[in-house]
Amino acid sequence: MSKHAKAKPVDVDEATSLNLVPMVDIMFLMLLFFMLGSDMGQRELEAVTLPLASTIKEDKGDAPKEGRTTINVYHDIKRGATCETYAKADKDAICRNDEHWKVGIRGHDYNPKIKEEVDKLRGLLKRDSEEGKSSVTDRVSERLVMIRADAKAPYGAVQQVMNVCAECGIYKIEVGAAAPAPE
Amino acid sequence: MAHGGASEDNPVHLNVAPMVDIIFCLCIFFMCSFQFKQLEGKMESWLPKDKGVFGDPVPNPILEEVRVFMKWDETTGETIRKVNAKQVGSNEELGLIMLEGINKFRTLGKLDTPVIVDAEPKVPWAKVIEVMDICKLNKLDKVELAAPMPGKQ
Repeated sequence: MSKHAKAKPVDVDEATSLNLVPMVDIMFLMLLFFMLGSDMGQRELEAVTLPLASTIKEDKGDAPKEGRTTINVYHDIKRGATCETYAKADKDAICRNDEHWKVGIRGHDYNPKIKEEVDKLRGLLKRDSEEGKSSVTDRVSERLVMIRADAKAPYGAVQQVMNVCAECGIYKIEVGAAAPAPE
Repeated sequence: MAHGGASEDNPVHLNVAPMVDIIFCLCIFFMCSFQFKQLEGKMESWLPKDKGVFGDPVPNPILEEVRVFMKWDETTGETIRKVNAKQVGSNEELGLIMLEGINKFRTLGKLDTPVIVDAEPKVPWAKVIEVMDICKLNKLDKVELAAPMPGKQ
């Protein structure tokens, strides 16, 4: 064999394969995080923008044995209605169309300005109130009511809800508020 | 490879591509529907058991109270707050005026004097909560919300 024989080119059979295992691991972790973090439960809470208050107590959501009723006061836009004022980006734009503000309990909406609907609300709260009474003769109920009203909601709507609660013998009222973001 | 490799050692070849596709789809779904929960709290505002609809109206009430009137100005979109007919601007000023008013009654031995928030129905709820918050910050725990007598709205 000649010393200077021509070198045979190396036959490289090197398939580049992507190692998917770390990616799959990370994807699984992300999936777990989002699955556990997301809240898919159909709860009593409507998506309302709560007013800010710095002196709030933490709401652990635990109801007393007499039970707790959550009442939401929110704009109809959350139910697909159109309102130019509410939809404005301006945070000071306030809708004062009475038709647009609703009181919601357990998926039922009531207009606080319509007497018939207020009567239905009263009936519902009356039933809740009875559950919080230790005896039939009790005038007041120990049932707790949480009012979660939108920051822009008219005070009149909240006042109406409070009045109905009082008429039904419910005096333990809590109002929902959000903690301001730390500066 | 002629003399065997990793893939030939394992006769069961698992195709992970469909699984990765599905995980991607699930991940995108949960990422899009994810919302960071706002830290929610509550303020207790228990109704009095012996007043309002629970009790009889007082015939000639002696007004020993600090009353915050709130009116919503539709043209400017502002809420006007008044204490003792004097318009109040900043939250600090409102806190001081309320504290001053309550302290006057406290020095006379009337420790139960309430702050009454008397707001018009159109006032934004956030503004009412703001006043309640100022009261709590100034350790004024007895806050009442004025309401019309039922049937007289």
